[in-house]
Amino acid sequence: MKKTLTLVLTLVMIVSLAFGMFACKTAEPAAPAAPTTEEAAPADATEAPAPAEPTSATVCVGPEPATLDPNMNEAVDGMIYITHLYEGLYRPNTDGSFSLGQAKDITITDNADGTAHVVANLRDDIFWSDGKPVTAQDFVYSWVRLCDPATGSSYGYIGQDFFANGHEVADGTITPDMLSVKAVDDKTLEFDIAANVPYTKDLLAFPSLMPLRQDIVEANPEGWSVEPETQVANGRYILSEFAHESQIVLTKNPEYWEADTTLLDTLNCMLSDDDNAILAAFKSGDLQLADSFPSDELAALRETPEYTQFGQIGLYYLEIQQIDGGLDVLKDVNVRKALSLAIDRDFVNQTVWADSRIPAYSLVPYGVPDATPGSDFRKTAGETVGGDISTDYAANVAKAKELLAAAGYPDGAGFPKLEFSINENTGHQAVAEAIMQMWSQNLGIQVEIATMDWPTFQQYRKTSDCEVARQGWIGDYTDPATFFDLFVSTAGTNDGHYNNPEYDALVIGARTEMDPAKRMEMYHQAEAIFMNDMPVVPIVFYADDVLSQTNFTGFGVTGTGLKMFWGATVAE
Amino acid sequence: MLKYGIKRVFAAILAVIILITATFFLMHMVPGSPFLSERMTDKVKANLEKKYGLDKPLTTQYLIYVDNLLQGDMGTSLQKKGRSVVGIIEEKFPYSAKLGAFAIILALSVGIPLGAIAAINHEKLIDRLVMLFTTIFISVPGFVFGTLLLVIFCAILKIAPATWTDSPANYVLPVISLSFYPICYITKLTRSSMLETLGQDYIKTAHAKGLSAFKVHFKHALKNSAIPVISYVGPLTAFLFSGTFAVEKLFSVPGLGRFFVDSVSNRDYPVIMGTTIFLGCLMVMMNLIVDFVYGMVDPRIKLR
Repeated sequence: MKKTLTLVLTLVMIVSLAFGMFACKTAEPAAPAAPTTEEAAPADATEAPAPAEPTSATVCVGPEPATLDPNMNEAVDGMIYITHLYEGLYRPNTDGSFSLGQAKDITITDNADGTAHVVANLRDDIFWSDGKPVTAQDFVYSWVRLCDPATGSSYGYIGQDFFANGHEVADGTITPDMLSVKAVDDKTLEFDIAANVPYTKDLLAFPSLMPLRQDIVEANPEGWSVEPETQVANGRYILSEFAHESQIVLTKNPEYWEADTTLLDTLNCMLSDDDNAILAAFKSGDLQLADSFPSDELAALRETPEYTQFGQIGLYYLEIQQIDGGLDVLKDVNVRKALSLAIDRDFVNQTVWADSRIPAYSLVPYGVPDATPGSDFRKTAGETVGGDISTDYAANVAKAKELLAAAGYPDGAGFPKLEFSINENTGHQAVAEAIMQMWSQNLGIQVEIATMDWPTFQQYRKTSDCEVARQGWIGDYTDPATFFDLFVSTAGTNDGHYNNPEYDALVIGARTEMDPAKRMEMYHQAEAIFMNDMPVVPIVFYADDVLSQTNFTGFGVTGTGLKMFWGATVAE
Repeated sequence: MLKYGIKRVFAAILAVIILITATFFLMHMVPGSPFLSERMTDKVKANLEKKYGLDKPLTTQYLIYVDNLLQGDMGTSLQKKGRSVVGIIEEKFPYSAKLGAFAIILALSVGIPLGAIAAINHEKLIDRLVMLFTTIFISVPGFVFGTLLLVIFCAILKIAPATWTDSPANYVLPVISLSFYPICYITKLTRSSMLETLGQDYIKTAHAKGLSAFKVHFKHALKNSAIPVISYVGPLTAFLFSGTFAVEKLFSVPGLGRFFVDSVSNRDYPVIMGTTIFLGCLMVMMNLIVDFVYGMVDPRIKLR
């Protein structure tokens, strides 16, 4: 009996060792991957030769999407599908720039009151996938529907902030049909926007603002978008198959006005949120691209030629609850600063993300443009802003101790036990544990980690029961506004109830400031105020980890997480 | 017999009513809402709650739900917009049921003979080997074993499909993963039950009468060793048919399993209710069938 057991155990060991060696072998370092976006042909290159044989690729960018309705979508994967199915007045290009889409020309003139008037003329050769022409009324219908609070779109704010009287529609002072948009005739669209902001093009290409067909939507308001028969769209692709919880098949729309620039004929999208299954499918060669895999594989995968890291304009941060009736000590700016300064961001980055993220000492991530073309907001302001925080951890810790003593809690004496809440996730758990250790060691503050499921957590972190909570944000568009607007005292996203009138005035003022240099200056000032108040604790800036087969090129990835596949090719 | 049957059926109906009521109120007691996201404002959330009737008092919502349920309407998903709960079950259940049926057939056709062979060869090498393997592997959860299969056959050997195309090849690995634990369990169950039977006097009589060893073992002993296996197979069928979350997710099977788990973590109330009621009824029905089958296999069990 004993002998048999030994034999079996030895066998098991040998098998698992051999298996481990195999696994290592596939992860052997090779030549570093060149970011594929750089070689990507611009989407509007008309001379691109059409391939003779139909081409197809299979990718995985997320699980079953909740909806493919542009007005209702709130997910990054949904944004990817919608961008392939629809086209707005502007369209994104594979390199992240924007060019005219359904509009042949757009004229923007500033009104006297700071708002702006837009006249857009639609192309004559644009059609829906059922053959009907795309009209200005289709845009009006979609935009009114988006802004109408009764629609219940969590992205309604995008339209309500954008159109001149969107807020009046939002709070019900005027009816949705009075929104400042008008179809002059079938091909002419006129509308007023709150301000001609630098990211107007981004917004006119944003999924929420795609045109929609009233007859289609109203025939089946809830379900039209996920059925191939009723998913009538105007973009590069048609939804030809939707096997729920399994796959989405997008095929090239031959009626698209520039169909010859759509190089990939069929895009299959595997729907899965099981990281092991996704990685297995990628390794088996079934997938050309995947943007999710088990996080503990990151260190090994980083060394493979299939791995590329793309910048992402996202921030991982801790929210500190400052609501009246919450934990009082957290209203003390010195306490908040001490908590922030006592964190070794390099260590967190190394242990949780295999050193692949960027430690964050400020609010706005890299990759967001500043006033002058080609400049970067973060680089202009520097890695740190505000008076106290630096990139030197030892100096930060010393300062943190001083600040906590100044708040009346030398070495944490008398400081209440802090609750650190996270949603269930091994990554968040690791971050929380590392920070718990640092706060205990550097400040003498005891921490308790509270883990909850996602819906409970989202509700909890807005309440006075919450003390410190994990948070994250990926920008909607590449402009500082997408980060600063989060923490305006009246914003629904301001879960920690930060309230500084000076900050509010700068951020709200920047929305209508026409001079780019002045506008950016206002944001830089706002960021300095923000970091001096430390209402949240920045930890790291996100990045997008993508696995793609080395023969799969020509796709595009942007900082907002959008992935574009129409220019992609699979080499033999 | 008829009285027993009617009694059992009434008990089953009562169980389902309690299940519906308890699930409904419990799920609303859990904090959270189906309409939460970073971008969701309180106002939009309130609009949505009004739209779906979630702003009404809970008892009113319950009465509305039961009324709709009696008309066969389980509502539509609050997360997967526009998909009816009945439609989801109709679409997803066949995949889970197919997987489950294959897994049960595999588990029974491997587990019972293996257990019987082990019992017949009691204390011999083959018995020891069977016991060793079942003891080791009974403690390995299906999804761990499944992950191993996935890595070996999909990622390394590349002989099994890793994406779902509903081809027969797609079913092989998940069925093996699903049946793995039941195989071990049924083997052990059959073995111990069979050992007990083999010690009985009538087996000795059968041997003495000169019946062939095969006939004694597989006709007389095995049939009488089946009771514990049957009582296990009932709930197992319901469990496997209704989809197993981890294995289905791992092999990208578009089955019902994920809806049980995802609906709860999304607070998708109609889907929680629909899937729970469906699974509950299946479970109750299977137990009912098992109760009746007992009597057929062993007439000594009185149907009271």
